[in-house]
Amino acid sequence: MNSLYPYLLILFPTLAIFTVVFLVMSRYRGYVEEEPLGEIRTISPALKIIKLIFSKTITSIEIVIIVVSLYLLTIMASSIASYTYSMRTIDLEGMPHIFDVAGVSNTIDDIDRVIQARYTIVVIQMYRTLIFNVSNKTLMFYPLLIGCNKDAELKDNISSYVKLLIDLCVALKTNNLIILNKNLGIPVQEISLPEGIKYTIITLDLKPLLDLELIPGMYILHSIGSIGGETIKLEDVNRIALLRMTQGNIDILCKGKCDAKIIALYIDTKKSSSLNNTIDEYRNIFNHVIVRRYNTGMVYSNTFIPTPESIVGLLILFLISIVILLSLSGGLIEKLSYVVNKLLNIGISKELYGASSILTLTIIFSIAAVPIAISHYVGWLHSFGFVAYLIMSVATIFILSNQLTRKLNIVQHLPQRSSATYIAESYISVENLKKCLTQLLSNDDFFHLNEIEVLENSKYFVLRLEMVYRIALSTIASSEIYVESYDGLWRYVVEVDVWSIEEFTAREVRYITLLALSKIYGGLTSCLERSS
Amino acid sequence: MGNTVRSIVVGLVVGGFISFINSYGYAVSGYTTAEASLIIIPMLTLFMYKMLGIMYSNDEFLVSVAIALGVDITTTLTSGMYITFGFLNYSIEKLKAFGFEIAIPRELFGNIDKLFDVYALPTYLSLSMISVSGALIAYTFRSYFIEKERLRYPFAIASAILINTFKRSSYRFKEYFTVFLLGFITQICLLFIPFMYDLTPFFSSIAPGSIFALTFSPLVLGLFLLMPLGSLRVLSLSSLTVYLFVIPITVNLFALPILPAISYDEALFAVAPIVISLNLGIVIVLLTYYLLRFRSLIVSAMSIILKLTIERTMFVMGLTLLSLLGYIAFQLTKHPFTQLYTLLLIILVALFLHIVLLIANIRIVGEVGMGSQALFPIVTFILYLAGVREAGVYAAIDPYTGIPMPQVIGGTAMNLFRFSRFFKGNIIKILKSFCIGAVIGSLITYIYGNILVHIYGFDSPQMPLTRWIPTVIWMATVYGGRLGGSSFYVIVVGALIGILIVFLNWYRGLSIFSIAIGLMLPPDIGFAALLAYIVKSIIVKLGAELHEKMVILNMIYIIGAGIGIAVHVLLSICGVI
Repeated sequence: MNSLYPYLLILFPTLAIFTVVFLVMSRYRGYVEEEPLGEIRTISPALKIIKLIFSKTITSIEIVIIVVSLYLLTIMASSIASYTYSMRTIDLEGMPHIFDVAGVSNTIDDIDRVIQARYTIVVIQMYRTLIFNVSNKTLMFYPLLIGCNKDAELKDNISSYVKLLIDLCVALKTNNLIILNKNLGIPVQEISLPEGIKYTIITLDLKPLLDLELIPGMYILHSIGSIGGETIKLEDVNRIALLRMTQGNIDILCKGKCDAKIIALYIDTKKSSSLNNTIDEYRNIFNHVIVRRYNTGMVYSNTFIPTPESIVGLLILFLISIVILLSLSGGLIEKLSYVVNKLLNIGISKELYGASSILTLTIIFSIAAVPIAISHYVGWLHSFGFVAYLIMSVATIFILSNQLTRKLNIVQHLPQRSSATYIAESYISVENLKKCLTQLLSNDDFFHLNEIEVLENSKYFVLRLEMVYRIALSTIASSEIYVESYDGLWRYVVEVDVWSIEEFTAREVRYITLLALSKIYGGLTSCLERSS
Repeated sequence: MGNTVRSIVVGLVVGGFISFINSYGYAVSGYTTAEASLIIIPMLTLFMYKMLGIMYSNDEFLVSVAIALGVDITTTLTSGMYITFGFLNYSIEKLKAFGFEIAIPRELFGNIDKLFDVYALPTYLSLSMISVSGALIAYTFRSYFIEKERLRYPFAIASAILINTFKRSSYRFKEYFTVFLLGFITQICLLFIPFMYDLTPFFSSIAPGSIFALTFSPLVLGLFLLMPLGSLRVLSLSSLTVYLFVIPITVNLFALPILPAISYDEALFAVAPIVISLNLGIVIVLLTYYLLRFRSLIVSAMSIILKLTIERTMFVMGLTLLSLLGYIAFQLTKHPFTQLYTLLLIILVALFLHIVLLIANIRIVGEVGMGSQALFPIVTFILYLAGVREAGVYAAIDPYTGIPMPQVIGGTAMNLFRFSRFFKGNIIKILKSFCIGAVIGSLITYIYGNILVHIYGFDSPQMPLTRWIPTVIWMATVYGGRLGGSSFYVIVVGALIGILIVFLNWYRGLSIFSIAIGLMLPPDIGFAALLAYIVKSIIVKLGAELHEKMVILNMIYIIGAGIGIAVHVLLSICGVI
């Protein structure tokens, strides 16, 4: 009965109203709405132009020299590459001094190397929960493994948190101990974990662990991420189970793959001064290493960034490539300008030519990139060199194509009109006008006359034409000619509107509009003059 | 009559297949064919008709497509959200330890061992049906958007071009098959070996808080190549600007502790509230601007539309259906009568926002091609500010973290209407078929969700839900009321940026909605959009024939990638992988 309420209260009313809506919809028959898609009627010569430019370019000596010089500069870039650890400084003022060097690793696999390294305290946060029965209740815990270096002698000004951790280490005398929080109220007892191994539970006050913060945002307790600057960390200290860090415990808790974080803390003792060695050791093992000097922390991560010297070197090489390019490009452009002029004469637009040249140059430099890519893959070439090649070739393509199209002129300022008016004394019947226009526009080079219809109204006639522009994808110029009489004269107003599924610039739309307008206006005037 | 039944059955079969693939894919990899559905579904339908050797008319074809699309669109509403809420419920014990106190009511997830969750069925089915109101309101405004604002709906046009080509049988088989195989193989390879070059540690060591990575996804790249150039440019630049400049500046401005050298995914999660707060500020300003600037146009369009009988009726029906959201939110609240007035006020504001967002999303789909969740957090924000801390209310009203998404359905419906116009479709018939598809589909996809949860549970290697952990934690943060106070200042920063965008739109005509979408795009996808922009801007200039060829080949590539995902899903389910 209980499960029926949602059906009665939620589903039934919704279904009822939906059915009503559907029935109301079914009352209407609706009508067909149509839109033409437009078909292409001209073939684009783009591929042939690309082939032409390609063949002219590839056989010129200039491009060969440019490519060879790029190769040399790439090799040079590769040889000057030098990297360093990425480093960030953070402010640790006000934070308890818990470590001199700390290492954080995001996977459990590093544990073998960690154990071999120098450390004072190691903590492993296990994110796979531990579930067992205790006092007739099934409880879930997040395991935290702690291990300490027995021989560590600490300086006096060390934080009380460190003493807390060491005390916990000491409390975990044997491998089979689990420490839970005092407030759980569980008596000391023995439990067996799923594998059958027996563990003894003891309780201590674990509350101070909640506030143990290493650096702003990073806590000793488990955290599942930070959101908007606030770290989502374990808040319920009753859910922590402390165990001793041994291989056996790790194997039991982490069968197969498991999510874990290893934090190693090293505190410089009175006797040794091996801080720098420890830092180097940690940098080889951990994902990031934090070094604390007084109130500043330096965070090193094992990502490498290029040194400033390399970057300056790259910049210089880049400028050299530009200089070489500019000195050689003149010859190449001269060779191609002959082709360009011929193309312009037959009506290839600047956009088409520009795009073809960019594509050709991209193809050339992509083919030229193949040996570079192979060398990089094989290991001869540093990735720095590969990046240098990419940057230089992109700049080359950009500059060359710019120079190739710079000399071409286009009409800058097109008039803004999209309508025109013609006043005539003579009269031509609308049907005849329609026939005349159809005849004139049906074989036009630029437009295909899709539709022409006459609409009548008490005051005026409207002739509606729909023309498809042949040179673009689904571009329709729809125009209306309003025919009305006043003062004994006949006034024809032509208005054109262009719509396309391609996105044209405003200039291109104006161009097509003016073209359509001129065709229709010209057709209209010649029809009217013919008939008078 | 027999033909109509046949077309309905074909639609249900195609829709059922695609929605099954999407149910599993959504849960596991986040890869669905959702955005590409408008391209894949018509082709699959055509393919089915041709394979079965049935003669069909344009009308029957459109009915099948509408039904299949209706079925598919309910996938994210029912099975996607069911699995999400189920996973949230499953994680509650663990989340409690981290200080989250939330509860998932039985109406959202019954938590039973049986195959069918009968407790939650009414909620999901009702909310899906209510979301269909988006299609009704889209119907009302279709003339305004298509004819008055001249929005293109590029995906619909591209799909129509493709179908036309295949119907004319003027295709070149070898060429198309090669591209299909290319899409198929690259997608399958990527599902096995995901490609990601994480540059976040590198960038964040130069500018702490900046996030960047390089990824490659065939489906995403293919879809971007279909979008208009202007939108691509704005989208990519805004995405990269936000993650490489605005976020680092904000992080440093408010001294937010960001952990050093974290990975791309962790970084995205860490800055999620910052991005959403920025987004909120910007969206509030942009929506207000849009409503103010175009109010006379909107009002005149509304008055014209509402004079037409059918449109007026549809609008009223749509509003009635939508208002049921408030009723369901009421039903899912624990103690509704103690906070009756607050609840009523919240519901009214939320419903108003729903309608505004619906219109905005329909516009975005028309301009850019696909919709976006970028505008939705504003409802989450209003609910959060009003003090709502119950998962049930969010689930019933919030389009961002909750179930209903009339905006997405409205956007898809508009694409469908546009598509049908090219095939001489009767729009009312299309709308009815879409509604039938959505109703039946919501039941089908809900059952899929049940099946997946029952068979795999929430901890199975065959259906790993790891990618949902950040979402679930985010939902827990919102429902549990744990969003930090710094969010408010970031919203103000966002509002300032919004004002800057308004200026850019006023003086330079920059598209405001593309910017809003770009903000919520992760930078690896923003970079893919930039690459798509560069490639497309060259191809477009090479002439119409080449452009059309590229559009068609690109869509076949998308279909190949979609089929790749489908095959991978089937192999995973059968346990082969």
